[in-house]
Amino acid sequence: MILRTAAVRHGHKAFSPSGLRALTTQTTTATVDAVAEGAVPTKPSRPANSLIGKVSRPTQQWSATPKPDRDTSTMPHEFKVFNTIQNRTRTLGSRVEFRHDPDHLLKNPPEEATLEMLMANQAHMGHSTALWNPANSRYIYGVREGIHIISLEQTAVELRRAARVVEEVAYYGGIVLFVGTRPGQMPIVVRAAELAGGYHLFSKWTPGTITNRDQILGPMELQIVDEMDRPVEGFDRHLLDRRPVVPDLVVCLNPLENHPMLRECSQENIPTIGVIDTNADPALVTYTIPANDDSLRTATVIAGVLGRAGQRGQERRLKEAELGEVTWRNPVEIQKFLEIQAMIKEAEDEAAKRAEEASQERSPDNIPGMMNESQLEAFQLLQNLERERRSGGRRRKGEDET
Amino acid sequence: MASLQSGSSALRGCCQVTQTLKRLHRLRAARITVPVGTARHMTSLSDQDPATDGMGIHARAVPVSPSYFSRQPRFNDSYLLLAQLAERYRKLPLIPKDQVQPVAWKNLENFRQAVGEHVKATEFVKCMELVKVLNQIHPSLRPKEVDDALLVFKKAVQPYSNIEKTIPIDKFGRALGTGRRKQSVARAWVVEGTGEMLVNGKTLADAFGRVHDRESATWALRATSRTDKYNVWALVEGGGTTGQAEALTLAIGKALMAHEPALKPALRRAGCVTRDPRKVERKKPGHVKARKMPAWVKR
Amino acid sequence: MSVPHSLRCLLRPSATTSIPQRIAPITAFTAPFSSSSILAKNPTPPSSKAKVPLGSRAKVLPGGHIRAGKKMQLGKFKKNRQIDKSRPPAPGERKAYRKRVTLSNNNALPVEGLEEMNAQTMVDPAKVGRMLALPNELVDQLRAVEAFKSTQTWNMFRQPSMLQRKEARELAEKMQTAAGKGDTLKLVISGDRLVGKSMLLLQAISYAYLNNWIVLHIPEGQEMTNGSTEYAPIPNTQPAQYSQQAYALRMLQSLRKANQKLLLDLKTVFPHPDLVQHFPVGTSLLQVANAAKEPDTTWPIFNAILQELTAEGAGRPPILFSLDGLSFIMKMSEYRSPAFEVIHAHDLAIVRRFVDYLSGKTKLPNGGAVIAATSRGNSPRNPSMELMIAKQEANQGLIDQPPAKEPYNRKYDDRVEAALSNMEVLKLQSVSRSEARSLMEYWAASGLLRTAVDEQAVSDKWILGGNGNVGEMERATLLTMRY
Repeated sequence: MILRTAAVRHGHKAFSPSGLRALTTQTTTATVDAVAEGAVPTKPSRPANSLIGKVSRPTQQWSATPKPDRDTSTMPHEFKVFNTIQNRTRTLGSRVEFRHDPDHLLKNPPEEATLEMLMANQAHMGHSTALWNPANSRYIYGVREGIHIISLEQTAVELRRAARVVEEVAYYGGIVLFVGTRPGQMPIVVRAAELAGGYHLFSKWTPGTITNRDQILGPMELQIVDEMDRPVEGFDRHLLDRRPVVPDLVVCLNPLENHPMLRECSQENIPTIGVIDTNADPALVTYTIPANDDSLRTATVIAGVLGRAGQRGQERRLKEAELGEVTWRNPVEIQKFLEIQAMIKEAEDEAAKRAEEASQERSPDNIPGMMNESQLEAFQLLQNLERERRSGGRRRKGEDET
Repeated sequence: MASLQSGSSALRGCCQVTQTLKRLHRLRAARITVPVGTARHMTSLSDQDPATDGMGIHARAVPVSPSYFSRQPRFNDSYLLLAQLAERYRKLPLIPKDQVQPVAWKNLENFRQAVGEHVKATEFVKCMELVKVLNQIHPSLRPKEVDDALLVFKKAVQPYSNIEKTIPIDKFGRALGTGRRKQSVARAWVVEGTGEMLVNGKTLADAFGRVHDRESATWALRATSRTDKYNVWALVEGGGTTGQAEALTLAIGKALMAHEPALKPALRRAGCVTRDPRKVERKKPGHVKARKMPAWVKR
Repeated sequence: MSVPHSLRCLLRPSATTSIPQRIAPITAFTAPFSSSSILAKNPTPPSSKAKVPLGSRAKVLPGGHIRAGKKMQLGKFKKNRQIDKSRPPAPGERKAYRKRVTLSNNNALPVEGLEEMNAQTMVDPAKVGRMLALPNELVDQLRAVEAFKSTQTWNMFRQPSMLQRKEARELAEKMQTAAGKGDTLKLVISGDRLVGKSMLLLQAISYAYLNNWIVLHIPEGQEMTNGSTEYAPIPNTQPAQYSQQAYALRMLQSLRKANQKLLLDLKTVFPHPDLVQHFPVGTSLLQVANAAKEPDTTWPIFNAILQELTAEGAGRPPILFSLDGLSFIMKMSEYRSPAFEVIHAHDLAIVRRFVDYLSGKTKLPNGGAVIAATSRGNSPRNPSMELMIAKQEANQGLIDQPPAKEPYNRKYDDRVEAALSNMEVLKLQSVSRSEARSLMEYWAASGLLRTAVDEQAVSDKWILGGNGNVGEMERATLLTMRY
């Protein structure tokens, strides 16, 4: 992530005589001699083992003479030249077939986790036998070197099931939250969320984010999207009034550290997927994935598979939406808002129509500045709706239960 | 025992599964078929068809930021963006640190106030490291998105981009300096000469009765031993004698700097560069003076 | 005639000392216990009854107990009021203390190699910009005519010395030429505040003394007109003039003290029949002047002396008639006529005489100078005088344009304008840097200036003193407690 100065360094190399030498066929013997003559500094003759020689060290070694500033104005040109040379010389020389990339799994997450992949990424390593949770006994293959070995068949099965859940939730337009709060899990959850079109959490779960969401998520920004995930306008009033959203599915890579979050989810009936090691309680989460939760590589594989699944779900959803089939129904509060808007519009239209008719009839009892019957009706309806909207915050909690 | 426990947990798991399925069914029940032709580019409530009672609209609320469920979504977003940019542009050449155009960055407090989130200090430090590396990219090669991403971390007021105004010396060899103190404003024209001084057309002794004020007025010249090198013709207005004298100090000091810029450190040490910002504190309602409160009365 | 005088003798304090007693003598205090016979003779009787302070409400109860009456006490502690029981200062003592002039300071370093002022140095162009020490004899003479002022910083230096300024030399030269020709130099010294006008006048007086002139000096014009001396109308004058005998006596006393030798040599040429005492022709003028002992008899003697001094062709020396504070005598005085009308200052006989010389109405037959110095510090505004001085300055080319007379100002005075219509103005300017430098070197040599005197220091003080105003330079350098 830190920008390397490789470009600059290599750029210099490219211009240096030795770098250019590779491009030419000229012999370099003459230049080597010149370098040998001029460049090698002659050592000052110093009496061996003399105290003076030891005391009087060369001063220029520690002298504080400032280095002359590098001329930065030529940098863009040099960079351009370097890139040109790089492009030209790319095809030259031998080709490295495989180069190890630590971020390979992160960049290219697998669609499906094979047993070999899980094994290679240490998914089978459980905890010391002394630390086990007996509830996990059905996931445990055996004991080796004092630790439990997790049955990878079980892992693969559970992972496939969890992937299916993620895919379906994404397909039905649900909100998927990936949580991994251990150090190093940040890029993993961010990548998974990016793939699945979900949300990520890599810092501490704020207790009450779900159960006390009005307070905690209140100021966070929401938007209204349509079936193609395009933002829709005209919901400003609704966004001001509505409650914050909660996730429809939570994927937790370290359930042991996120007990409060899992508890909140179970309170709110939100399904959870968790990586359960041999020392964790599988009852903490809805869908268990028995695997080693201490390994970042395991986490990368699992989160990658789940992210891919989410990606598939999203793609399916969008494809169907394009074909005109929407996989989700409007949420209750939005539906209600839409109905109210429609009623208001209807009432207004009605009033306008009547007013037009009245003006056409030119009835004598039509006094300017006074509301006639229909107008009064529309006005009262509007008032009622407004009243209901204002008291909506109190009633809504009851509505959520249904 | 173990089997019992696992059995119970499995049972519980089964219950949860049913719940999830219910939830999913609720979502699935909403499968609504929309005619293909009605798919709109940009949906808006205002252009809906009244006949369908708004039922043709599909809308759901989603968070804007993928960091919605964390406590500092804005900071997280910008941090991730920076990391992404640093990765993307890692091959662009960097300028040495000491040659980068200095920028006034927001400090932790500024940033917290700006984004309205309680950002942790350690995370902010990490973020600033990225910011500084990105700022090292050569300005002519720096992509616009990097500049935009860095904008969040820059202070609104950039003192380094201030261009210092130099006082010109006109064709008569005069430099006009302006100084202020309290309510007084002084303008001093300084020319090379034999050391004469006129304030508002009067000599210094006539302009200032107090010797201390005269010393203040000539302090810029005396502190730099230039009394016999320059002539001063000054206009002062506003305020009292002390203010006028000290405004003159500043005015002469500035004009002197126009003649001899090398005197700036000496003048700064003598206090002839910085304007004294103190002014009379305003009177407040409910107070007798600026801070004095009325005496307490029993009834 | 002599009876009232002799009676008045008895009223006068027997010993009039010129130096007032400044330090109050320690009053003899009585010790609470004494064994002296006087006190032993009248011992305080041991009172059987307790003493009750008179006028208080205290009561004495039977049994000797005193019940104090109600006393209102303001504040918790009574202030211990220090009542000064010493003698109050005698009349005139305070003023004398205020006017006291100290001419020497033993703590100041003596300045080596200072040239003495004499008749030649005053007109020597080479001496311009040098400090000149006043010889002791001259100092006595100047002190006698009260030419020194307490506001001048004589009390800081070991010996009175003066800066020989360019203007001082010019003035001395003018006086020299006027005396040589037998003309009268009519001059008014003007200039900014603290620029050294009184000092220039002092130099003019010094020149006069050094050249054996007769000097009549009025040290404060204010004292002539502010109603502080007794006055009387002079009979047979139309419009009435007023004599100020006490002031005339003062002038005579200072004249005979300062010019004693000269007066001794001058002999009378007129008989003076109106004097009480008979002075035959050929009497020494000093003798005549000595006759004035009482203010009552002074006026004829004063007139006689002036008549003798201005006698034509009798080998009289030139006269310097000088005055400091011109604007005080160019206005209505504080005196009232018998009809209770305000007297114009020019109707006072001494002032009239000075003004006549200044305007050229009467002439000094033996040559001499009439010099008046204006004063800026404490002086009334005098539009006519200012106008005439400005006009004269414009005539001499000192300023570009004379100020026009304000058409609606009623404070212009025709008599003043007539009096000042025919005189010369010497506008005193600030000192040059070389003059300032020699002055500062003198200060440094006296130990009053602790910094090195170089171009820089001179320039500093020159600017601080308002571009070389000597008084301001002194204020900024010597009168601050910095150095």
